[in-house]
Amino acid sequence: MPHSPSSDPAAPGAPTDPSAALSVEGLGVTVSSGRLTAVRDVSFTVGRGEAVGLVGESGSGKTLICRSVLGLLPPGCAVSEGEITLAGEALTGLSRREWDRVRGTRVGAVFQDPASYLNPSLTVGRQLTEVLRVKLGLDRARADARAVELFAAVGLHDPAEVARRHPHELSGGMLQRVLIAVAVACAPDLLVADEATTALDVVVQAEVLELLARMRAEQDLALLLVSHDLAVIAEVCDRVLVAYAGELVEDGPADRVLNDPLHPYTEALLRVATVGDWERRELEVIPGAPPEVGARLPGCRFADRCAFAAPECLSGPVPLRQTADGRRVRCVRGEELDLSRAGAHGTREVAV
Amino acid sequence: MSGLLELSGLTVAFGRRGARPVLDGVELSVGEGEIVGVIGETGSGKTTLARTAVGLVPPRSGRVVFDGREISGLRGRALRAFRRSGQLSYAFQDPLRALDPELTVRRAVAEPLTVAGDIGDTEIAARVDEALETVGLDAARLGDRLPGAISGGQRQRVLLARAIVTRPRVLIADEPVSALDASNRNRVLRLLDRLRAERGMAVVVISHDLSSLAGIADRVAVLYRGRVVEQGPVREVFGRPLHPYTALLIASAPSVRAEGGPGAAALRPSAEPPGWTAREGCVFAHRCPFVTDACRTAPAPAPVGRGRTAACHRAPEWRELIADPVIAQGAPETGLLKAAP
Amino acid sequence: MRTLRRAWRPASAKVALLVLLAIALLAVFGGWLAPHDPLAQNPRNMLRGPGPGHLLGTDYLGRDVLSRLLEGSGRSVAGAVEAVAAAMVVGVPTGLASLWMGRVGEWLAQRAVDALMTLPFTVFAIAVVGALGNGMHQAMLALGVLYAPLFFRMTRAAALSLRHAQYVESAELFGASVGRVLRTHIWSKVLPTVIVTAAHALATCLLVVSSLTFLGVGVQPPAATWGGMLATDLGFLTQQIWAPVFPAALIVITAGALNLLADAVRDAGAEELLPGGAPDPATGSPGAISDSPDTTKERADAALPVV
Repeated sequence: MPHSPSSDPAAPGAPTDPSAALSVEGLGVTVSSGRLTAVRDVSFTVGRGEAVGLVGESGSGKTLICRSVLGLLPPGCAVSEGEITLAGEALTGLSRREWDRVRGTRVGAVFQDPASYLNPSLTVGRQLTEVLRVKLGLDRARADARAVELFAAVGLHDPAEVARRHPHELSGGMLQRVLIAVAVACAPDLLVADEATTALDVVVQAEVLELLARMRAEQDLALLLVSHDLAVIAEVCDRVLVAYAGELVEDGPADRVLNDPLHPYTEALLRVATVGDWERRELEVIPGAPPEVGARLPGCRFADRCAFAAPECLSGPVPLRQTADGRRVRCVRGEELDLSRAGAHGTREVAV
Repeated sequence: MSGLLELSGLTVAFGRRGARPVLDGVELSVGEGEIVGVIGETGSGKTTLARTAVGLVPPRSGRVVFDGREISGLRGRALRAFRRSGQLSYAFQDPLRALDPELTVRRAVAEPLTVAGDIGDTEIAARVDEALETVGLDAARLGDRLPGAISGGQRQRVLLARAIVTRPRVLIADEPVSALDASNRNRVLRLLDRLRAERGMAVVVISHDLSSLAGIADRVAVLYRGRVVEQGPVREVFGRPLHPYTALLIASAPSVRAEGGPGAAALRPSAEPPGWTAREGCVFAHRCPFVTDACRTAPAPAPVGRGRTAACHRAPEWRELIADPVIAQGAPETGLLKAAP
Repeated sequence: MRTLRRAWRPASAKVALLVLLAIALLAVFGGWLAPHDPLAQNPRNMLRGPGPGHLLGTDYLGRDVLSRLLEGSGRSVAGAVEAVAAAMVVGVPTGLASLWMGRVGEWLAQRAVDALMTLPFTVFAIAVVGALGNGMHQAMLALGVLYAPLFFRMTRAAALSLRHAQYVESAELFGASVGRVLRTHIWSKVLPTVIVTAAHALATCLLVVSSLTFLGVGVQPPAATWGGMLATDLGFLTQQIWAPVFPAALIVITAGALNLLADAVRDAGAEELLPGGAPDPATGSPGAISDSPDTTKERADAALPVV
């Protein structure tokens, strides 16, 4: 489905906005050397200073989407169609050398396992100053001073001391802060955080999420937060993208999506998410399993797990359509479903 | 109290004497058909607690009593006989490492029964199929696969099947759901809940993640640096925590809904902790915003109401301090959603 | 076990097996195949090159090289196998047992092995022959004892990481005995290492037999062995360049086949260590696992009835 950027006027950071930090247009990603299409027809934008969350279970394609944006697709995977534009600069088809320039200066990234992105034999300060000297051309003294400033900015206590430490001397939460400092060192337009807090303890996770929110506010940094955990995204993001089986199924402002989901899959995710109550209760599950990567299905890819599936759901590909209030949803029934109330009994009947 | 599994005064230390113990005077009691959560962060000693309870780690002091019989002192033949009875079972954290890569699913699940050797092969096969079915795995289709050829969620359930195939009275499960997504997590938690209801099996769920206890736990023990800082019915402990660390944990847990209670920032210290906190006193003092000189003597778990303990000198009054609007305002913009309903 | 099955796959392993099969046949039936008496000397026909009467020529006493090689193959192979078998019998069980000996036992076993490794080989061999009498079996036994530390070390190293594997701990939690743990969880994973070590040891033993013969220990002249022939023929290299070539070629071919086989076993074992076994060409790279993983497998999760 060709998706025109201008069809999205009401969404925050709409593609018409030339200053959008990131705009992805009709992205398709193939895996297994082109044999299977794992991601199709993904279009979204991240406005300047906007925090966008991309949520989905494993196999939803969220990591492939975020790796495409970073030019870091694993071998065998490739962007087969679509365009990615970072603050006006087209990223598709860049050479390796050009990607190296873009990464680090225009877009920063933080991943799940910080220790594997740092050299264990160099101090963390040295690794940050290296970035500052190579990418920004600072001299040694100024790079050292700036590194300490950055470490302080990411909330590391005694930053000058931390800069002299090696990665193995720091905890997971501190390493993640170091990586965030490296990622924002060159004042990028966009910070991509791929499951950046998944491996951390709850308390540390909350601190890192607060840090991301603060960096974004202070540096006017756009944030693309990728997570399987809707709750993590709910903590930080203005807007939520929901991915399912390689497609975006819902896009809208966080408070709207979380309180009044339009897509049955989003509603199901919300139902299984933990809420802060500890009463004994029957836990909900989403019946079935997602389709295989690259599976060719006639209609809606969620239909076989959906409590509201109707014959028309299987008749043909479902487009991601615009609603009256500027949200987007890939569901033929869409607004006619009252998911906010149906959730309580509608899908549970299927589950039991 | 007299539970089915009783840990009393359990202290474990590795390495030289004088080093900070990994577990320090842990008390925990698990009754029949009860689901008890043990919550703690990395390095809190929660896995050591499980390994000590099942006898993989010898305690330096303290006792593990199972059904009135001390099992921490068992050796040789008696120990082996107790283990073969399969009454107390342990599900390891990482199914990929806890399953022999060369043993098929069926053989792995059968292992506790073949080791015990008191029932015949046909009965073992029937029990294995039953256990696999209980955890929701298709024995006919997956039974002859190797652990490397099934998904992570399935491996997790194979591990559970192996842990329940002996029909244990107590199951200790180490992070049984932390590697699963929300829907599969709920599936496994429902399974544990059903086993408790149908067989009266007691379950200890060890986790770093509060959501692992959602909806099923009866009681919870919060572990911090080897000490149980708070323990009690899950609704009371998480509803109105008495220890600042428990409060911090709950405030830090991300949620899709707005929640009441203090923000996490109000529960973190604003000033540098006093120097003594590194060496002595309450284990949480170095991260506690309410620390006073009294905390220099480590607080013992004190009973607070029915079946509830808290190890904090300031247990009743710290809550008043965060009600102070000046501190409360320190809560940052955690989630723009929090204002919603 | 899976490792061993996978080891047969590469073509090199199949070739090596065929070669070893041929050598085993030679070892058993070589004596009957000999065209001449391997001990018959002919002073008028010494140090001939390959020719019609003697296909591979004659040695310094005019004996037929082909006949001697054929007749000696059984002795050479049996000697090497005997030495390696002795080494395995001593080294492998102690290597496994050392893991359950406790700290003191382990220390003692390790020091005993160190002591054995420092013994000078020839001195030890002569001492054993002196004590037990000269003969092929005594010499091979001595060789076996000296090779035992190699097996001890290799077995122990391979089993050491398994000793504290979680599935071994878990078997112990079920009340499994040491023997059972060894049988079900450890032996099959140590076996490839033992086979690799044995192949290398066999190859070196074939050569070492010759240095023993040189010392007059073990196989006594005029009985032929490959190693012995190589050692004496080398002395006549200037007169007859062909003489040492044939025994050397046989040793090299045998050792090469053994090494090929050992490599195949080792490679299959290394593949085993990759997460999820052999890389599946159909799925992407490990990097893709985080997101577009084995959904074929995940699908089976659907089978879980909602409880």
